[in-house]
Amino acid sequence: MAVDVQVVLETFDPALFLPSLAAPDKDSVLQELVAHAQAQGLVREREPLLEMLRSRESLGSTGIGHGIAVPHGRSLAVPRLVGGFARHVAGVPWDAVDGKPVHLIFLILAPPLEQPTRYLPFLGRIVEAVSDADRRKRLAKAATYEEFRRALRDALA
Amino acid sequence: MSPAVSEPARRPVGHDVLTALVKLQDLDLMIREAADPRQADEVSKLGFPIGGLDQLRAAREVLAAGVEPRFLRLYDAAVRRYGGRALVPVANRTCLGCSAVQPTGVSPDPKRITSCQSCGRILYPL
Repeated sequence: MAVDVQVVLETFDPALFLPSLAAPDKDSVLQELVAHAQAQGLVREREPLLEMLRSRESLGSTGIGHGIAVPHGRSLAVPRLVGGFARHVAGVPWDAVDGKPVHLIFLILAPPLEQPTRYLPFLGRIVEAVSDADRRKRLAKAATYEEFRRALRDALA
Repeated sequence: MSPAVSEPARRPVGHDVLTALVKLQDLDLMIREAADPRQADEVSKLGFPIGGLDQLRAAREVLAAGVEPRFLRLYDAAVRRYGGRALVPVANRTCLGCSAVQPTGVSPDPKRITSCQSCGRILYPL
């Protein structure tokens, strides 16, 4: 099932736009992202979600190279599909496939079951959006949620 | 020197049990998806290599061992019956697994383990 651009854009919550993360390692980044998601009422509980993301990382790093990480997974603590974007200017170690530090982080959380099922197609759209160097550069420059949204919209077009 | 006394393993209670069961279900789902060749292939093609399944299975055993046996039995029975979905959200007293409205006396409480009066799944208040 294809996920259209508007759905992707609407899934990224402004409350989960974090343009200046400074956490020193992957686990601290995940903790910060999850804490924000819970504080904004986007997820029911912090602990199972963090555990799920850590488990997902132990299954294989979500660092897909070129400074991008897409931590993702399903949890009952998530009522609906949620997207978050964070930027780490200095770069954070993520055990990425190319061994390079991660600067752009796309958090994708989904409930165990959705109607309709959007989780994997959504993940695919994000990977596709960051597959081009120019698009990545533009996303990396986004200092506001609106700039991020525009850059993502153009990357998905 | 007095002999070392090992502390009994701490088992979660109340809210902690429900949280532990949510973690268990999340982990079971992840293991199931990663072990499914079709799904693992789909995720790998997106650029996320799948490995470390044994590590997850070991973590699952540790997690399950920390849950009181009667709750684990309840969870396992619902998993078998409902293809992995032992816990389901409950909203406005409605079980989102079977849509049954729970009697007013059965108030889903995040501090207690409550089963749906109709389907028997464990209710998770959203």
